[in-house]
Amino acid sequence: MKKSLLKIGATLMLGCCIAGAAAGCGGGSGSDEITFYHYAVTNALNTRLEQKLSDFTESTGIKVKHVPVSKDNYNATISTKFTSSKKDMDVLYLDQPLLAQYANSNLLYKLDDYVTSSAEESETVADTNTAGFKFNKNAFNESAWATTVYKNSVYGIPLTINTSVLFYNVTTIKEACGLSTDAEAVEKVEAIKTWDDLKAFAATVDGLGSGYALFGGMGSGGYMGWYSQCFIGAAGGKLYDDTSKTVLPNDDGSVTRAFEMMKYMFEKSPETLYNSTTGFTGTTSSPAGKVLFSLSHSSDIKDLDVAYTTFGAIPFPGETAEIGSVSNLGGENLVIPQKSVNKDSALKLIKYLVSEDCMSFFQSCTNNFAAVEKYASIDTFTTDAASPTYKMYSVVKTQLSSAQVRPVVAGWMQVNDNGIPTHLKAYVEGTKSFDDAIGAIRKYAAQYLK
Amino acid sequence: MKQSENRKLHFPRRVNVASVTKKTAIYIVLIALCLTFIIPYIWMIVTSLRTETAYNSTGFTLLPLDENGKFTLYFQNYGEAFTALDLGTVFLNTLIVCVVNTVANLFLNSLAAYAFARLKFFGRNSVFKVCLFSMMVPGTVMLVPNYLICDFLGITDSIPALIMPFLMSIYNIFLLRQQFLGVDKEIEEAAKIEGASVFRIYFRIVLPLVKPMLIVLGITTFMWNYSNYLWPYIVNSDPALRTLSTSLAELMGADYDITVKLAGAVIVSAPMIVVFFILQKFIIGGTMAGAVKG
Amino acid sequence: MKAQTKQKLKRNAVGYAFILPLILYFIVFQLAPMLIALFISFTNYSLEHLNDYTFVGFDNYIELFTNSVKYPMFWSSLKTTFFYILLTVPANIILALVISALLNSKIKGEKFFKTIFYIPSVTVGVAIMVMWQQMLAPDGLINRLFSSNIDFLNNESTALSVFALMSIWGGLGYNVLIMLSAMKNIDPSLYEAAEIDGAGPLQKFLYVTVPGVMPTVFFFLITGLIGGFQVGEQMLIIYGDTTMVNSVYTYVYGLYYTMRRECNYAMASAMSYFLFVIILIITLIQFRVQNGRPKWMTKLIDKAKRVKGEENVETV
Repeated sequence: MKKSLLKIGATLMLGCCIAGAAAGCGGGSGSDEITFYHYAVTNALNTRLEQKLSDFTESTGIKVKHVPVSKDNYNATISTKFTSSKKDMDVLYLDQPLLAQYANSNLLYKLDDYVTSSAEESETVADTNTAGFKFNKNAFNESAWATTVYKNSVYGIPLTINTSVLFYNVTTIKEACGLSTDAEAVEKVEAIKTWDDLKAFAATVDGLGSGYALFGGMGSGGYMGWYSQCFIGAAGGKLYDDTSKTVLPNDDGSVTRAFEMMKYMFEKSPETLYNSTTGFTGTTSSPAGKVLFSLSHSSDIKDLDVAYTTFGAIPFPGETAEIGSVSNLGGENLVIPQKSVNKDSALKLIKYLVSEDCMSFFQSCTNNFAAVEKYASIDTFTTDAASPTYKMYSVVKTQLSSAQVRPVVAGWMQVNDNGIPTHLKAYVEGTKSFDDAIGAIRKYAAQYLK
Repeated sequence: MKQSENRKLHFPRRVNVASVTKKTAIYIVLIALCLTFIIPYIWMIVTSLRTETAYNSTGFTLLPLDENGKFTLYFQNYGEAFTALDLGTVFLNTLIVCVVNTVANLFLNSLAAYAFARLKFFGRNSVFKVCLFSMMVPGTVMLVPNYLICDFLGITDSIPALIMPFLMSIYNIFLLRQQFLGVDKEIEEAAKIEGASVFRIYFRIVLPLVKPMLIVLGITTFMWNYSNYLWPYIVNSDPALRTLSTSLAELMGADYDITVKLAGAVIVSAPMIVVFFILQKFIIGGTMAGAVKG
Repeated sequence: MKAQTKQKLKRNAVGYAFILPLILYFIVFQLAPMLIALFISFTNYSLEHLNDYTFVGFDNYIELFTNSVKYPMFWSSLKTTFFYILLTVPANIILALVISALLNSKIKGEKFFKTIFYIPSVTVGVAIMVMWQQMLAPDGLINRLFSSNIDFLNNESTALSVFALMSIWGGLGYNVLIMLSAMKNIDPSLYEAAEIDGAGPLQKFLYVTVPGVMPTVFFFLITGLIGGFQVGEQMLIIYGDTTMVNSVYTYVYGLYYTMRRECNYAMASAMSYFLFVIILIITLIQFRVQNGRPKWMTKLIDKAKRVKGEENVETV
């Protein structure tokens, strides 16, 4: 009895090791199979993606193994894959700020030979290189394309893009301003074009800072770093000066004014509501709080499509009318690892993924806009042009034309995730002076930027 | 003893009232504490049986109500979680990893533990001490180098990568050795005189004597492998090689309704809880017995 | 003489046959990783230098301890870890003592309670985290129950306590089992003796039960310290690789950040070796206390014995 149990155990163990070893060998990159790493999406979208990839296999004969990884674990997973001696890694999603980091470490394949700038509308043009085609950079959103260029070389092809706009809760604003109809509230908010307008608006709301929060969307960590670019850009400044290698160059005082504005927004919001998303969306069952404005991007619009309240969006107001509306840019690029042994097939997959058909698919699963300008369409999200949802998406789409690119410099991720938010937070909360905060950010950046 | 009986005789009512109030107080405390253990689970199960809209539109409730306050059970979350977890594949992976690791652990650990407890050979204590020393090394030290080793062995992105680094456990060897040391030596001596081989004595005589401990260690090893989260993430990226824990973590990070996520949590945690209720006598008894001796 | 040597050889052969799997396993998956990690911690092995890494000596360690600009969270993460230990270890011990004493007071349903308390110990860690994350959300179970709106997990003042509570909640079942079995092992005659001396339930608990389970308390203290220093996985599951909630940024969470987000494997190895040193120190203290008691402790115990003896003399 016991002997047989032992035998079963031993057989199981052996069998498993063999099976696993076989899987390990079989899973490697055969000549006709490539591996595609991307963010995990929902069941319905996964099924659709699988369909899209099998269409690709059918037309090209290239098998694609796709590996969905949740966003939280994505960077850890692909960086581990880079350290592996296995080469089954051919096309990757890559968050914009990571491109410089990976390119700097010589881990990404340069795509300069596969890029052309043709005035023609056609997305690709035939050529004599191994893949037989080139990507037309003019077909892509200009800012999006800029995120793929590191030290004058192209390392990726933009897939989807996004930008931040100022969302507002119509119901809350109606209540806070003592208005009787939604239309009045919308009209009042739509009139906000500059920071002075916003401050004038805030002056008409009673109880800002205690019952109501002017602003509840600065986020924390990487989001805070990313959102700060809206304020700095809208004040006419920038995050990084390439020539002087200065972080947050403040010769014209733009950064000072941007920081002051962020502090103003914070002071007009009770601490419990600042950063509160539920305070902004406020479900009927748990009136979590009252936040008037929130800085967010199109991925969050689907969460605002709720029955109990209406939301709207305006472009992020510039400091003055001359500067106009400016915002940040986010999104993903597609890259090919240097160690891929199937670069031609990988290029073909990328070409396929930026086709119109796939673009609309990626739009619907990421709620970002397609990086190929002519494919960026609101119809993917909703076809009801009169709906608030449609309007919010169209504001985001308009804002994309004035979206600023993050610095494409290795180490920016750390500056964005830690350096800026840590000290900016200390500044808006009043525990650090402006000079101390900016000094600390620059000191931090000096350690990481390459 | 006698004294207290006398007191009971003298003041029967007073003592009873006092002890009844005392007992009631104890029960109240324990039951209140119990609720903090049961309610989260009830809430998780109930919420996993509701729609997201229903969940959002009601306040505090422990009943599966729909948005109109009617009692409704909504099972689609489970369907969705089932697909999202890729449950068929993932469950099989987890089962293979857990079973192989548990069997291997019990066998190999007890082998070593028996040697350390009973067999006399050159360098026994030094080897044991070196092993004990390694128990102090925190698991995080091993993550990066173990990945490199698995990569060197060519087993990354495979099931053996989840098995081989955990084939044995120094801590369990230590616990088992303590158990073996407590076993009466005379039985073994008798068997030895009868000419039984060392292996036979270990396998037929000593091992059955420490069965309660083996059951406990088996279950904890199984549970540990079932819950293991960080390592599978590092070593395997292929979705077809995920385990229940990593698959649930993926579900958690993806774009699903809260209700679906909770359904996933129920699916993943249910098997072990059911097994626990079936084997609770052994688990609780064994854990306590192990504590006394260990 | 020769037969004896032969027998000795055979005995050694049998012994090594028994531990052969252990030796192989130990070399490949314990010793080698330890040495590799040690080696890596003296290089600049990272995603940036995968193939061109060089030996940098103690640079990583020096940078970790001194570069507060690049590693601003290093010392504060140690402090956070220490706070976490302060929150969990004493609470674990006291709760285990009290609950076990209640369960040990000859009540009905002891088994039922033990079973219920043990459920979290057999629930998958990630599932527990999903459950708590949703319960603690601003519109989750707990906020609905109290009609409040606290983002427990993202609030600096609540986050660490919430993690401590989760860990105490999760570990209670196991701790109670261990403590209870220690209590059941106390000689019943001690209680009877105390009763004869006129001790009430509280006195019995303080003067008989607590001293009787002191070894277990000590066990909890040591395992709590060692486990507490390694806390971080729960935070990783809840927050992912980055969080701005500084109050939950424990040492190991910072280690995961360095490893997973910055991909600086050399620094991560250096950090884990420093953790190893901390754990080593705790363990050495434990050995000292257990085996060779330090002088002050022996003195204290002697004194206690003397006092106790004198009292006994008086009562008799």
